[in-house]
Amino acid sequence: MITELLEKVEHEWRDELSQAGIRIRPPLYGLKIGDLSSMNRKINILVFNHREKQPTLILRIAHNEEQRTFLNNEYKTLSGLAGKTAFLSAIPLPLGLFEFQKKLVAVERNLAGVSLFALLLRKKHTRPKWVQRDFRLACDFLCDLERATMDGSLPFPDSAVMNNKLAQLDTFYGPINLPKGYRERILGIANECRSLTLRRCARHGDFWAGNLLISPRGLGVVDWEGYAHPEQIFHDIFFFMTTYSLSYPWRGWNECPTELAFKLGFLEKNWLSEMIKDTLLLFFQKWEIPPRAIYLLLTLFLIEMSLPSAIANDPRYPPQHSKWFGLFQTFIQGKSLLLDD
Amino acid sequence: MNAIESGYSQAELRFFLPLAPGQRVGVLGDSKPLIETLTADGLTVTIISPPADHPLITDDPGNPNIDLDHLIIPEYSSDCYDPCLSRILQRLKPGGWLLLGIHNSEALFHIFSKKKPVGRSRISLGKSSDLLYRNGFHIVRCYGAYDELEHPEIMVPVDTGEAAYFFFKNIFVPATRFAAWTRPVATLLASIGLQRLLFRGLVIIARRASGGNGDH
Repeated sequence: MITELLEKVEHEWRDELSQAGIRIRPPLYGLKIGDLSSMNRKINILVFNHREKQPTLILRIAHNEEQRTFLNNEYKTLSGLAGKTAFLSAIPLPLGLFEFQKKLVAVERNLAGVSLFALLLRKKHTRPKWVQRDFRLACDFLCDLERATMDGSLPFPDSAVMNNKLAQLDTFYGPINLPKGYRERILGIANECRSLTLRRCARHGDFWAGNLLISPRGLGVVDWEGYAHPEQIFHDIFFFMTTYSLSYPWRGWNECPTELAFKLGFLEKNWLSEMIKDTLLLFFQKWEIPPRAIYLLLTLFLIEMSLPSAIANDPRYPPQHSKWFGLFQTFIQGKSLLLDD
Repeated sequence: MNAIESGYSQAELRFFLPLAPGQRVGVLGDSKPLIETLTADGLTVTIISPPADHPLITDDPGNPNIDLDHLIIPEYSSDCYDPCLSRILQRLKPGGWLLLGIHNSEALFHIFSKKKPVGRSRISLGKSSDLLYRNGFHIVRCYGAYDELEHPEIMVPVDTGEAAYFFFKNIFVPATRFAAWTRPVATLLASIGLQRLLFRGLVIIARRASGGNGDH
């Protein structure tokens, strides 16, 4: 398949790509990225021009109906965002959608950079100065996305919403052993925050370190399949912060258990947990959302991620929602730094 | 990585050949996920037994059928290259495609590794190319399998150094401190065209000449 696809790029699709300003210089080389073991995932191929050290294109290939839907969504999203100045060099430029052997192929201009996830696994960007810079880049991007897609407001989740979500958890996982007074505290915060509103805007949907490319030019964001609009803005920022905490090399080259990594990022006091807290406070400050309300939103986020509906048709085993449920349980057993006076 | 996943990663080797439904593909060995996936894709799969280590005791001493459109050898681990491998290759039709995985005898990894794997014979890309050429094949592409041929996580083109340079600079995630130290060296070696030394396993994509049966 790779050989035929490269031939298509070289011959049949070349004119269209050339009109979009993409120069094709054969022989082309294809580097298939992503875990080869993930059979149900989409296929991504980086395309290199002859003697060029950076890939020119990325081919994203959907080989079933569900993936087609996601890929079409991504292509439509990128086409919509590509015209906006804020995203010029920060998103992959969509170049064409083609049919190939009953598969859908999206051709996009490749974004330069190394993923933040790879940097963390290489134990790079782990010092406070770098972490602060990376958090700022991520938050600035989310603010740009919010500005570009905002279209109204949403009511703050009230006690009925929180009760309903906790009931859904009970239904799926069986009766949950909540700490004494936890439910009352949560519902109390929800009542306090009744008058607040949230802005309605788009979410990226998979805003984690693996999809953020760091380069000297700044931040690039890839994998827009989970884009949804309208949505609540807090999903992306919480997804980024929680997954960042799980990816951070807390123990250097030794593995850190998931729950412990989460605890270190959100419940125990250290420079990084303080930085996560400060970043969240700053991010929500412009909407005048106080720390206790952020705590409530984070709780809601963890509950939603714990439900099977969070990731449709998750091909991984065990499914990711059970991992998130573990994080939710860790979160409610400890004292969040967001509740510090 | 567990066994199921490793099987799946071999199944994805099929993306490296121009397969089409209805064609006959031979698979050396018993990679179940690969065979199942090929069958699901509408191909007719012929399982080929690994060769005995000596040509005199091969179980098929006669002339082989020339019946395959494609041949996938995920990992060739026998010491018997010529004539055992040659005999298997003869089953491919003229114009047919071959995927051949070899344990790279020139990989720098062997200098640092204390392990002497049993039953994995190594061969250089040069010797493999000679053997393929003698059997009427030309090499179309060559990939470095990272990090092992048995369960490749990523396949890096190594015909020139650029993709390998990009891989070590942008994608590679070291699992150990030692691997992290070697990354800049690997990047440097790739930039000066020595990328083939950086992979323990190589995957060769070759095509049998269209004219005749390929015998020279």
